[in-house]
Amino acid sequence: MTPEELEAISNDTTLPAGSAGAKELIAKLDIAQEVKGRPSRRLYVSWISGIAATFILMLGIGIALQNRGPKDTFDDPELAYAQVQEVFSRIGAGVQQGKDAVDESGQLITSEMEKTINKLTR
Amino acid sequence: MKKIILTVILAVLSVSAFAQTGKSLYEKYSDLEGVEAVYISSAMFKLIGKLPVDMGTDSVDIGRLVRSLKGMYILNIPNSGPASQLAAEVTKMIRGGKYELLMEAKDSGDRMQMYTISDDNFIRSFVMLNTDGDETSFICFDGEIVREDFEKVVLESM
Repeated sequence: MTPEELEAISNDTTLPAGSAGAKELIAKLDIAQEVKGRPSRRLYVSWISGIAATFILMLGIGIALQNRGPKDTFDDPELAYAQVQEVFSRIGAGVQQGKDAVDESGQLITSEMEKTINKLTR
Repeated sequence: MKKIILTVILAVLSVSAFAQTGKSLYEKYSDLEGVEAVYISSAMFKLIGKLPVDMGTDSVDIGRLVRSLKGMYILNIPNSGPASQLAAEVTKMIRGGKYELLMEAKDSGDRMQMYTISDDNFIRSFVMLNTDGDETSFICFDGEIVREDFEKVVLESM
């Protein structure tokens, strides 16, 4: 708002005095700002609260969905334990597979090295 | 206009805050046709830990390891099904998380990868993706597993 606009409002004798007058003045200020294309403070507050509410709502829905877990496959802990043992044997087999690959490549490297050494020492 | 853009950005941010996990993959694939799925909850692991069976040898205490698990997700998908899609999503999950490659082995079309989230003492999450000629298997478990226990159990299972 320009000082001229403020002065015009202060000279406006039609405005009532007291708290009612203050409210009317604030409303006028808001309208003046909106007319000039700038959003008023009140509008900013309502925007931010709207965005925050949306964010909190989506976060809440997300957390609620995350906490809703799947159903246990086994009712019997012994069966579940057998499954755990199977998983660890699968992991063990995987590690063994990796170890074999390393041993194999190690042997390849060794035999290649032997050939190279034989050539050099011949 | 600004309001709409800001709302969209925040909505996208709040959705991306929920990245893919073993649980979300399990929920996505477990109900599909032809998929074998197993889930063991934290409560069930506590029950297993109380079983009156000998769960360990002199060197390995499987009971302690089992009690420290918080959830196990297993998916076996035939390669004729959405196996490649699962493999791609697991790769995405690995890249998006703090996973480190534990080991990888390839042998004439078969491929096995193991990843963990861990520190010096604990393994917080383990993922194994295994693709062979017929099917793709995904194993994932979370918890606070003592690294030493895990290594001993794996070595004993070899």
